[in-house]
Amino acid sequence: MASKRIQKELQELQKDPPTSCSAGPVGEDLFHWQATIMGPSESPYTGGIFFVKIHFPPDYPFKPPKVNFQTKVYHPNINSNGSICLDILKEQWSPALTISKVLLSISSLLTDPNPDDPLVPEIAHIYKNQRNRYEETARGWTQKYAMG
Amino acid sequence: MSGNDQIELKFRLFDGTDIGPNKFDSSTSVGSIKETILARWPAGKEITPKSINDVKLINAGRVLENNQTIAESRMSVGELPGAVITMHAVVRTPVVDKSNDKHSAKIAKSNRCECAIL
Repeated sequence: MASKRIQKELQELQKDPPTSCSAGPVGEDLFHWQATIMGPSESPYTGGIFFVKIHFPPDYPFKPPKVNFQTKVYHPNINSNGSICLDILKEQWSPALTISKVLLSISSLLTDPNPDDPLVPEIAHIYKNQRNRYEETARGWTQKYAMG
Repeated sequence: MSGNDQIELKFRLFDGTDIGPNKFDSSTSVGSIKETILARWPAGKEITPKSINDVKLINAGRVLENNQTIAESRMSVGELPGAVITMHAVVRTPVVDKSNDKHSAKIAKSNRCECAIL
């Protein structure tokens, strides 16, 4: 069940992927993927390529996939371990969602952080009170870690 | 698989336009695919890569190396046999001059995007 569904998503990605994301299995294991998210142009992450790891649980799509950033990102909802605070990866997950939609949601989270539900309160504070400083740091990290 | 397999590839650009699909020999190197991409780059785009090093080719979440062949760049499982493979062609943008940063601070968005279920 899970592998059939994952296979289907993979083939859709091969045929018609979103402009800003690419994803596929790491090796022979269909349940373990890597993905890239291109930094959205209207954000300080523009020009960066961000690597993401995806683990599908055995009961996918009834349980959400585990998604983690491998590239360092300066963002209120992404911590230094690469964990992402996003409702659809937790309680708001629905089996109707796909990995493509998850990646697009992460991409819009990059453009529009959610500082009221932060994973890194310090960055959320700077985002709310010193927007220029946040943008400058996020841009700096993108150049340093995501443009190699 | 023999080295003479033909693979059909399509390249998706940053703005959603596609180059191709075109057939390639599976022994073609990523570097020479990039040459093809440069030669077929649509006119009038905001960004136009000058050399193959300005372009990154991404397939299945991986950045491909110039000296790899297509055969080596493919996924080992799950590929639809015979179907067109869509890769992403990303242009490496020049690093922005830091002194310009202050001017680019946008107006703070007042209506934040609430997490929407798609």
